[in-house]
Amino acid sequence: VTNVISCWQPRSDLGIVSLMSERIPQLAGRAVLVVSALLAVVEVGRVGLGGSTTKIVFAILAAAAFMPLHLWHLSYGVRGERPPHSGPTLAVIAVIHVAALAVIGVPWSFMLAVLATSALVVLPTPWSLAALAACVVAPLVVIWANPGGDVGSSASAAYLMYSVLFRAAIQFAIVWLVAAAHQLAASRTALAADAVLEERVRLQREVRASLERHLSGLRDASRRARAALGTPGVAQPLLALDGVIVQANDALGDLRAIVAETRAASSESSDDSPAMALARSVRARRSPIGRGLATRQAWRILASVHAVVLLFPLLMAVGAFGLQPASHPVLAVLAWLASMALLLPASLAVARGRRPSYPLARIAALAVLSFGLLSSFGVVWETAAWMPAIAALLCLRGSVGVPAAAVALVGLATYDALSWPTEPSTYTLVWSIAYMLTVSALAIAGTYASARLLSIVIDLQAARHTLAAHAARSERRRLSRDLHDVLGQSLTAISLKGDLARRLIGADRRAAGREIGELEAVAHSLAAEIEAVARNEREVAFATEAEAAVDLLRLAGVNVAVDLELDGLPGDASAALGWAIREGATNILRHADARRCTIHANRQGGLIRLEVVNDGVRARRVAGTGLRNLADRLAELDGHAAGAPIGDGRFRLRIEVPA
Amino acid sequence: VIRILLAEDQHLIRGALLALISLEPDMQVVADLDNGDDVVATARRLRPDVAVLDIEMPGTDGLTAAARLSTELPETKVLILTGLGHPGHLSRALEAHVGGFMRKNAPSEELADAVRRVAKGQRFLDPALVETALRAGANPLTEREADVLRAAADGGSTVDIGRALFLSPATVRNYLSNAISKLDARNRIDAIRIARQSGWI
Repeated sequence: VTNVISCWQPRSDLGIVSLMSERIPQLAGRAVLVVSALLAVVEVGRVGLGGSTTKIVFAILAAAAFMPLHLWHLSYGVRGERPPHSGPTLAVIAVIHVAALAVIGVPWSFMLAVLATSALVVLPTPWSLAALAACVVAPLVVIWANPGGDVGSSASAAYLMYSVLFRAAIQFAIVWLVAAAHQLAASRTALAADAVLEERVRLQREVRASLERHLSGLRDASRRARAALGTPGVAQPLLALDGVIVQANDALGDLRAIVAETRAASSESSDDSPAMALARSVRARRSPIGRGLATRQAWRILASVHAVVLLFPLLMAVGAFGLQPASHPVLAVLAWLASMALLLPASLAVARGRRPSYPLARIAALAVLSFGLLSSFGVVWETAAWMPAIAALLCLRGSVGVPAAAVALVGLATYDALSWPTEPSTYTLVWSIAYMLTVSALAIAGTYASARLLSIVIDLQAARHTLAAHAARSERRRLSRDLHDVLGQSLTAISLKGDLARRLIGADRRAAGREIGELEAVAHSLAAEIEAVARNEREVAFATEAEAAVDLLRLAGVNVAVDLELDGLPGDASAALGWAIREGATNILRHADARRCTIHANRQGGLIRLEVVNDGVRARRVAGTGLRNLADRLAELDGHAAGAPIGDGRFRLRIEVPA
Repeated sequence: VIRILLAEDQHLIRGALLALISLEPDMQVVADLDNGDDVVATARRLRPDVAVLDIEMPGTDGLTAAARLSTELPETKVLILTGLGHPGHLSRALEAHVGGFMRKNAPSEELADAVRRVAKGQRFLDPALVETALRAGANPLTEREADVLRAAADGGSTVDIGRALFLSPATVRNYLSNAISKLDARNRIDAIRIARQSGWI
């Protein structure tokens, strides 16, 4: 049947998309954890600014208690999952916050961003937004309850509220985008697997539709031929047999056309059809990502991050937080608008996967607009320095962009440290530098990451459909060949036997009758075959399934080594093994980040053994229903199936069937 | 009398072909085989005038057997019978210097005629199969896919290609993947090779 022996094949070009798109989300996922932890440290430090020892000790204990829970939430969030028992853990974080607010007062309100972020990650939509709103409004309540409370450096209620929103929005945005990239990468192989099955059903329907008509004509004609044999003369039977031959040949022609893909829609529309079929599939409908909404939501996320970060320098400059506005507010607004005109096109370009134009000029202009105008506008303009830093990350290669952004960041922190009107204590100075660096890093990296991650989400979304279309196309090719082998043989036999009967009819009526009888028998079995195709019950042979599985795994970027030495399998063993290899491949795609996979089958003594080993197993997994069904099915053939991890994150599926 | 070796694995079809050929007064089937492995040895022993071979058979396929016959026993002419009319088969058959190539379900008069012509050393190619092969041989790539593949053949990266053709790298990747998939290639390099050999880029 098959003898596919090939060594480690290079990853297909289709798989490369995933390689390129894996690193950045991973990095962003880790970065968001680090920044989150740093922010908590800075906020504990804020309590140290003026607080009593009790308050400091309480702050340290509180942070030590809830930060692990918060980071745990985030680490699940970046994978697009909800942590187990997240309700109670979130409640614990909330209770600690309320207690800390009661003990420490206003300075703790900044920390509410932690609760807000955790809630956004953990809770479903309406509740998560309600929790965010509650955390944003909470500072008002705290200030109202502590009228004389020490607020820290500069804090109107509006400033506190904006801070909570700012931090929670950026952190959640990154978590969401990383999760979207992760889910897209994971789901596209599953989608391709679904596309294969859908294409199979569609093709079977097509074959059935085209053959059933011919088949009934075929049976009528052969019945007529048999009846005509009883009449004198040769004209009637000859006519009827001509009908048989024409019907059989027409059916063969249709079948050939289906195999050659000439009849199955033009090549252009067949590009879209698998994608459209996917849109209808059950799995696709379940998640927003499956419905193709990921891109739209990601754009919204990008817009929110940009709004929250880039509006901040403007609000500062116009004195929105009860602070002294910039020395020339109107000029500051104009400078901000000019900065937007320079920065936003760069962001959009990166989000669409392009290089921004005039990178150096853009960065230089933004640097002039921010640092250059500091002396005229005053210290409230300092966060305008975020913009050249963001532009540097957007426009330059990482090895240049990151240092450039760091220079801007250090410049900002230095300016901030030097602009204290009175000499601050060393602790205050160190704290304020740390604070400025952390919050600015969050703003700069978060804005850049939202654009970069969006481009990855768009890429993955597009690659998903390509992958599915490719998988469906190969399936059509394989299966139509397979169907032709079975149905084509029968139709050819009918055609030839009709021809033979036609030739025999003048000389040997009995021989002609025998041929017509055999022809009818073949037509009858063909009808059963087509029925089975229509009900999707026809077993697909092991060879076809193995080819499909290998193809799909390679598409997903897995290195597959195949060694199959199975010729002339009995029908039920072939079907069972075909089922097994399909299950095996599907499991690998759904439950592992496999890099390598070996598929090995041989016959030893009276036993056929199939082994599928893959690496990259994500979590310890108990036997799923797929494996159990497989084992049940094999038990009917006195065979058995076993799947178990074999160390190093590898998983082995072993099937044995008596030959 | 034309002496014929017949190889076809499906016994219903083989039986019908055998009976049909035997009805011709000037033909005689000297051997009928159900696999391709024995074709050359049997032909060497019996020296038939024409070998009528199916393509898809267990063991040695009909085209491989035909190629060996043409080098080892040039006096035995070959008529290939095919069910599917796979486009690649026709060119392989021509490379093997077969005398004839035709549909398995062709009318028996045509089959007999083809055997006679092939026995005389003439060539007979089924027009329907030639047409299928030509149609399938038409360029499956869209203009854009061909452009992108051509640019990739010049050694450019996805980004370079995108810049040259005013496309985003993601779109370039999509076109490349489509081309790879349409050409049934393993990867980009393979697709370029196939498209070049077929004269599509």
